[in-house]
Amino acid sequence: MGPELAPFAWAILFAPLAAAGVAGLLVRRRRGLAAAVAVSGMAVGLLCTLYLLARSLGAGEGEPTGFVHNVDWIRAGAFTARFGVVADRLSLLMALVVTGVGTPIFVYSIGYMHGDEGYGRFFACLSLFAFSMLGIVLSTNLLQTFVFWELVGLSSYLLIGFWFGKDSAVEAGKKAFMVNRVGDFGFLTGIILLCWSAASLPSFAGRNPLDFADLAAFYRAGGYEELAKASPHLLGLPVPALAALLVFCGAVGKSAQFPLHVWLPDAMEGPTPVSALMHAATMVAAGVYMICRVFFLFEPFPEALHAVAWIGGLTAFMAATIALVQTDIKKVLAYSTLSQLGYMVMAVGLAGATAGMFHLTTHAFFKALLFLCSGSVIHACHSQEITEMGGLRKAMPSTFWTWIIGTAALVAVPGTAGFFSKDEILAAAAHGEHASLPLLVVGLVTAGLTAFYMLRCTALTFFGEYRGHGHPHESPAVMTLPLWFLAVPALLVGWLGFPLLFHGHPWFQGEFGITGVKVHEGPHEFHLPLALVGTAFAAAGGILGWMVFGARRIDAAAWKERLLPLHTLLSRKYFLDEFYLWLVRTVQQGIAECSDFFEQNVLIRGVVDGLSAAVKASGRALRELQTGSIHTYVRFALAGSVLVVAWVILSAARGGNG
Amino acid sequence: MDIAGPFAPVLLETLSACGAGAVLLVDLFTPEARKSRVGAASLAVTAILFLAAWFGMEAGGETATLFGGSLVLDGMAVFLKRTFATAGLLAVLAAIRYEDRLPRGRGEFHFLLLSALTGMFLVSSVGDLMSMFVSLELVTLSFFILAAFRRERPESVEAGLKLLVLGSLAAAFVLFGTAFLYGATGDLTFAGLRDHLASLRGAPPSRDLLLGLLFVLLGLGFKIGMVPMQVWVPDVYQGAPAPVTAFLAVGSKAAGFALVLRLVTTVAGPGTKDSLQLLFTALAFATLFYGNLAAIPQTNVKRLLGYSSIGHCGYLLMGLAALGPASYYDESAAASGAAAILFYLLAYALTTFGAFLVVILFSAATGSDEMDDYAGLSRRSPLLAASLTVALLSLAGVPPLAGFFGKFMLMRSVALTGPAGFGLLVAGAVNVVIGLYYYLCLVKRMYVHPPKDASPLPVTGPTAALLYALTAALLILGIFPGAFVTLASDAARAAFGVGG
Repeated sequence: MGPELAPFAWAILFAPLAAAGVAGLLVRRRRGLAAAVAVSGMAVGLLCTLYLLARSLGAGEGEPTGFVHNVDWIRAGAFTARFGVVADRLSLLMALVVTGVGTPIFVYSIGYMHGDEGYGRFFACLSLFAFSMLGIVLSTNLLQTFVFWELVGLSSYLLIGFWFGKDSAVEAGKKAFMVNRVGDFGFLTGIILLCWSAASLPSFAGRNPLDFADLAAFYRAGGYEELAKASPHLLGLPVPALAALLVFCGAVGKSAQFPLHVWLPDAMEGPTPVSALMHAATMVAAGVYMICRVFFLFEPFPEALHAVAWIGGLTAFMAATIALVQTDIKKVLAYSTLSQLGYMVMAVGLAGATAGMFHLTTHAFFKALLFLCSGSVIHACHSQEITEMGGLRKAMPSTFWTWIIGTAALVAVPGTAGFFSKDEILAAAAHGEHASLPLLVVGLVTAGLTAFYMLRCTALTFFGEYRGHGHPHESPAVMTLPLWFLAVPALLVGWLGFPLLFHGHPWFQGEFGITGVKVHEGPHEFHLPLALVGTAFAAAGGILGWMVFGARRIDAAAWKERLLPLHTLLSRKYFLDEFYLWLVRTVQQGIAECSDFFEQNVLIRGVVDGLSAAVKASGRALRELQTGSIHTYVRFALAGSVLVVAWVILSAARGGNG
Repeated sequence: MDIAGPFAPVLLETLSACGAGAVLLVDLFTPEARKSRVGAASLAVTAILFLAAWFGMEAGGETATLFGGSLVLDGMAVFLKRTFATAGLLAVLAAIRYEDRLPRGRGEFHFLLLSALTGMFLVSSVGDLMSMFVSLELVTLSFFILAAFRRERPESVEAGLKLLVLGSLAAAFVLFGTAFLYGATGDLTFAGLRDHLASLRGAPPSRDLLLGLLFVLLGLGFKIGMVPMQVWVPDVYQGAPAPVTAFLAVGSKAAGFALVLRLVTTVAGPGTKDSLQLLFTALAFATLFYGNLAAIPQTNVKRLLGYSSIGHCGYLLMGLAALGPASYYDESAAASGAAAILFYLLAYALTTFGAFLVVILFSAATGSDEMDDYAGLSRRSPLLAASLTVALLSLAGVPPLAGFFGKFMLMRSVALTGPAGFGLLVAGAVNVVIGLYYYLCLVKRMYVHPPKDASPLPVTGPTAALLYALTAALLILGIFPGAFVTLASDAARAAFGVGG
């Protein structure tokens, strides 16, 4: 496949933008039409993605499996910024996740947002998000990625704060935006550092320092060594390794890794379809995707990969422990998402792009499914507290069974999607090139914790007696159909990665991405003992969870008393929010007040007010010239002309004599 | 595309002159009740001109000359004609929204707009000093009448009178300078002037030639609103009918700059670089600060835009200051200055019409041009407020709008001239800040202040579409300037004789 297919790739990108424009500007008030436009924009994206993916997978021997299509965006001297689309297996897989999960969620929103005042606005924002997200996915260079990265941040802000009448939603939107800013600062610094150091190398001439393909080709030719030698070590790291870690900062923000994870649980203030699409399946995975796209930056530096893996592992474990004590159904899922994102990042750090992308794909389907189920439950109970639910198994059979499928996949029951992708990560930790026993233990323990909190949540929501108000009933078909639509891939998509089934299949040969990401670096096999150990951990956690909350053989309240300090630590989320608040309120506020004093008294009163008074005075003086009398005007023009002529002639004469 | 055979170089001029006549005829045979047909005819003419300019002319074609070198069609002429054709189309679109307020003479109004446009097309491709004078006067004479068109309003008559008196002064300057140039070189064509300067082999030109050049430049300075010839601008902008003001702001400025560029590309050479750079740096300085500072205390929107147009003349002069100095001279820096001017003129045309269209619609609905009456416009008509805000931000040079990229190109060309341009760069940056201040003052009125009269101002479908299109054009020109920059650069490089 070649660039002649570029129109399809551009269509993936621009169909949602067109939908956002039409839905937001033209037909916002016509509710049904706005929704239809948004859904069709997404569906066009899905169809184009499927077509391109089929062409890529069907590419014959020796034929390229992807292409890049660029147009010049800004040209200024030697600097060229391009804008383009890349359609290789990596980007198309991610685009499939975005559009494939996005389309059912768009449909689901028709039912979920029914009767909301901002119906049209919601679909416009959702389409804007799809455009921004697909912009990251299809981007061919760092600058374009950054632009869409920020656009995604904007649409996330708009959607978290969608119900802007609610203070907590507004606060959560601001928090997400600010926390992401911290990561983005690192990201941008990394881009600048990388481009600046690469562009200053003579051997880099003729390449574009922003372009993924150019950079990857340069790195593969050993350019990173030259780069490391050419510039001094900063902070004890060679410059390219530092740049890689700074770029990773962006992923830490967007994919909510420790220590910037605090925004994601709060982001659940947004409508549930938003949580499912952005804060579970796609946007938060953008960070993982981005590291996979620029994996060549990390590859030569084991220390950088190590740092990535540990950040991921730490996040996975910490978030899973917090999820144990949450009582809000969406918060449980939010912390579970954090934990699974940690798994993905750990996978990239341990084993490279494919393992991370595999887990990203399976997770997107089953987590989106779980979120939509929770939305259905919330829709029925008008509450998010699992302590006010219970027994919904009978009232909401469709929701219940799809939830069970999603839970099975998340807990990694053998045969479901999550099992295969999680197994691949554990295998990388145990047998991979950068194998690490501590991280293997972290992975296994987290698997056990995952099973525990999911069984707890399931038992409290769907079993026992109903503890809430009113009579919950099943959601309409427009909401339950997308659930079943997502349940299928949540069960089955993992088999694609099952080594015994597809190992050596042409789909998994050759280049995964134009930046030289290989499929399955190193030998990958199915390790039966490891799979058994992993399943045992999950089973242990699951059984324990069921004993406490389902069968009630163990007294939860008594254990809570006994472990009270631990419970407090977990339910206060390791006091990180308090720490950040202290940082902002005490440290930053102190600095800010000092700056404010200086600004108010020296800068504003002295410099700014003085300058503006001078400027305004001169403006008034000039205005006096404009008397309205034509005599004055002619006199002014003549006098000015005489001055100009005299000056030029005299200076020319002086120049001639000298 | 060759659709006019040997007359291709004057295709647009011929079309618009015939179109002007046709509009008069339509007016003659149209009963009073159906006078809107006149506007439609005029719109059809300018639409054809617009299409012919953008799609019927080749930008990179051979340079063609006509009438013994008095008309030249080269890349720069094509670019300018496209700018003028765009401005003409927008002027007629604006005039149609205004003409209900004309007591009489719709046909003449449109005829004069088209005759000014014909003059502008001619101005873009003049090849000698005589045709320059004649085509320039065609533009100016049309504007005298247009400015005074609303005879029942004293301001309008005053505007026409001021334009006439000061315009005559400027015409005298141009003729006087032409006489000196002829005396010094014995030739009236630009090609002859260039040959004469080349024969000097880098020696400074004679005093007569320098005097002649200066007088012509000062005369042209009247058209572009350059200090010290800028005094007429605020009064005429405020007094003339708003569509005329917009066309005057864009057309007169672009016509003046077209001629200044012609003249400067002709005379720029090793012997003149230093003086030219010094001269234009000083003039840019004075014009920038005059326009922007005096805009601050203004209370009338049209007057504010008048002063800001003087400021924009200052920015455009920066592109000419990129010519030198000789020691640092680089043909491509000079060409980048000229390319920046061409691009800026196009961006300025779209932006100015975007702003004036709102001014026209607002004064049609409320009868006021006072800035205080714009208070709360965002609540009365979100579309009008948003369009005006985008246009003002583009004028101020805020990314990602067209005006930003134009200013960026101008500043970059000055930066290319090395340390000599540093002072001017700082002045340009300071003026951007001043400009932002007074533009934002108006934006603040529209968005923050409560409206005095909260009645909504409805905008009809076609007008809304026009506002959307102009806003989109500003965004497109700012986000994807590539194609237009290439066009402008090719034109400028050809004019300076730089290869490639």
